[in-house]
Amino acid sequence: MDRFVLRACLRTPLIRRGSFTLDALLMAVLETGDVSHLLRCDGDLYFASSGFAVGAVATQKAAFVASMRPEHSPHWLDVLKPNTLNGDLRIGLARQREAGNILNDYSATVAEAIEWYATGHADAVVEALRPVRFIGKRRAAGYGEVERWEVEPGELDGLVGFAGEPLRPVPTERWTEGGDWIPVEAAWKAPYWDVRNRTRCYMPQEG
Amino acid sequence: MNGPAFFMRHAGYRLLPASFHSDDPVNDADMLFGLSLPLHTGNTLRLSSCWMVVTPQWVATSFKTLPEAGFRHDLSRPEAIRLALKSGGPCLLLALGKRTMAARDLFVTYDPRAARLCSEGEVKTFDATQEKTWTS
Repeated sequence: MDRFVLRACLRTPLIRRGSFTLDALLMAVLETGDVSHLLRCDGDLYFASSGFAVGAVATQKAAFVASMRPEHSPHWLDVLKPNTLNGDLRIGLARQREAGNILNDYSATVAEAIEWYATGHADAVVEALRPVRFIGKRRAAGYGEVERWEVEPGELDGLVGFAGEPLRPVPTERWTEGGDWIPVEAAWKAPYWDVRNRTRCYMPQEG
Repeated sequence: MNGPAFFMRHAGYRLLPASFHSDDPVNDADMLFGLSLPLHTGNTLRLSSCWMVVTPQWVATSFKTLPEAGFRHDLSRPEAIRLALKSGGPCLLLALGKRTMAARDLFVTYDPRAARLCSEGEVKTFDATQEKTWTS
């Protein structure tokens, strides 16, 4: 396994949430929870950085309105029915007011590219990602369109940057580089959405 | 230690009836936020519409808990937050509204430079050392 830099050259602004690590991206694309055949992994910690914006010129607000309809989910009707008066399943006025137009705000980054630093099989990684045309959030709305994928040999292992800074969330007890980094609670391994995988970590300032 | 584990160890298990305790602090925290809890006024209320500052040494809150819980009610919210952040240890800052809180919304603050104020579905991160009152 070698160190490499993976670059997604962007055509449209990108909306990122969370650390946006390369292992998480590969897991999503390959629909698997284990990509250790592509990237170096020691004790559940992947040597794969967060995504860093290259040539970022601006951030912009991206707001979307979701029109929420006050309806019961069909599979709940049978559960609710025994608890209703005369089988009346209509939603009351108070609950109806909670529905309607919901505004979701995002922040989009206008950048030339997103870069990841990692240790693994570069050619296999880029081949896995080659069919991916959009990354990040709100892809169906055109955000995060990838113009092309590039890969080249790198110097960073995916955990530690040139200044000794963390390149991805790393549990503080596994961080051996020292430095005055700010510890925060973050998910450091997949599944990243699982609260149980959060712990005291050092993580990059950006992303 | 993650937010739900920290919260339950230092505050939540003092409020959650023993019959609801499980081995999973995440489930226990979600259970606690959905329960009506007895207040010292004699009423019961869900853990909502209040603030809470949790540290390993003490817990301060505006929620009218029973005296048995051992929570502090003598501090104002700014005082409690400032005291917790100045202590240098980990703490949990909660600002609860009317909506039900979830375990996933609980984040421990480990450093005042990245203080995390947890609300329902939202976590605000701010640098407390940049606040005007930090050095006073």
